[in-house]
Amino acid sequence: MKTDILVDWEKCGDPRECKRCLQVCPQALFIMYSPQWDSDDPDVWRVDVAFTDLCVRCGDCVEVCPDDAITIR
Amino acid sequence: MCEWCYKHGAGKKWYLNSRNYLQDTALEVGAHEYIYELWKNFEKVYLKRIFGISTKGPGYKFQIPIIGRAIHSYINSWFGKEKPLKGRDPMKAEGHAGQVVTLEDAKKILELANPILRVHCACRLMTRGVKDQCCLAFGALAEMVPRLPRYIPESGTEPMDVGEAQAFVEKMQEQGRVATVWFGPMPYIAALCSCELPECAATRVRTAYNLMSLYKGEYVAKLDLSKCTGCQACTTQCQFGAISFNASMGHPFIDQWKCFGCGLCAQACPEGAIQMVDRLSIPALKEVW
Repeated sequence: MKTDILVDWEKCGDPRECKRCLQVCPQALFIMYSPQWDSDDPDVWRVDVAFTDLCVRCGDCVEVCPDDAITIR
Repeated sequence: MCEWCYKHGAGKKWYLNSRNYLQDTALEVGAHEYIYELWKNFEKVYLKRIFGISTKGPGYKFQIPIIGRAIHSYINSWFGKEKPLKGRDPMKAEGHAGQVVTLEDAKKILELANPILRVHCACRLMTRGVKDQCCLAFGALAEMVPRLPRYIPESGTEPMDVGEAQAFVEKMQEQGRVATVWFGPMPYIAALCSCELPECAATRVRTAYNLMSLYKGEYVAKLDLSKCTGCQACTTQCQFGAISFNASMGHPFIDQWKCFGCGLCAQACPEGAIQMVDRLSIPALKEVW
């Protein structure tokens, strides 16, 4: 079974403030970053997932996200 | 001694060769530009480039017969890349590998490095959103980090003196963090970190995918059964899954094949029953890095 985790950047707010998914993930697979270096614009900051093959599909990230931005496929 | 000691150690361990800390060496390998680009694009390097196309499920790629092994060894070749001396690609972390060190060696490293600046751990910041000022940046990295505001701690960019830095690393070890020393890029030495799984990027890709971003240390833990009282103080220390407690024998089992030689178990032992022995003194382990 291949796991894919999608984060809807339109729905996701400022991960620097929220960071719930980053901290809840038992495998620590989420990464927050800004594609434009050192931008302070919350819309620019986003989370993405590395190493989806290590995901255990527990669903904690989906549950904890206040914006319903995370989908596990 | 590992291959890096032969190439860059001048008869010593590579990280105890003072030449690898010199400004001249930094300039020779273009460390300033390299390290600035690497730290500036840290998350992107991790997320997009380390695995060629992307880090979306690299484990799936490595499992593909033959092709998977080819991709694995191709990526592996980046970390130890030595040429060109100047102009290696920071976006691929070329020549940016590290090694686990014991507290004793970490202290010797700090005597050679100058200046020493405490900065936020780039790994913990990207994976957990935590600002943890636990990485000690040296020389070129210490010069470049102040241009990258997100890594600068609230306490500012005042360099630490050797004694302060040594006491700090000792404190980090008491918290169970593994000391690691880093090329940036090889053979220039840029940092001493206090790493933890799962946040540490290099430790993670080493333990999860066996990519050689982090070498095992020059030592291996060895248990002296006559001194061990079976208190289990060591068993919670290992980040590499090398120690378990063996109830029927009444003492821990240290799997030396898995040991990274960080020395945390030896420090935790109240009886001094765990010795860090030279990896080369154990015939089958001297090629295991």
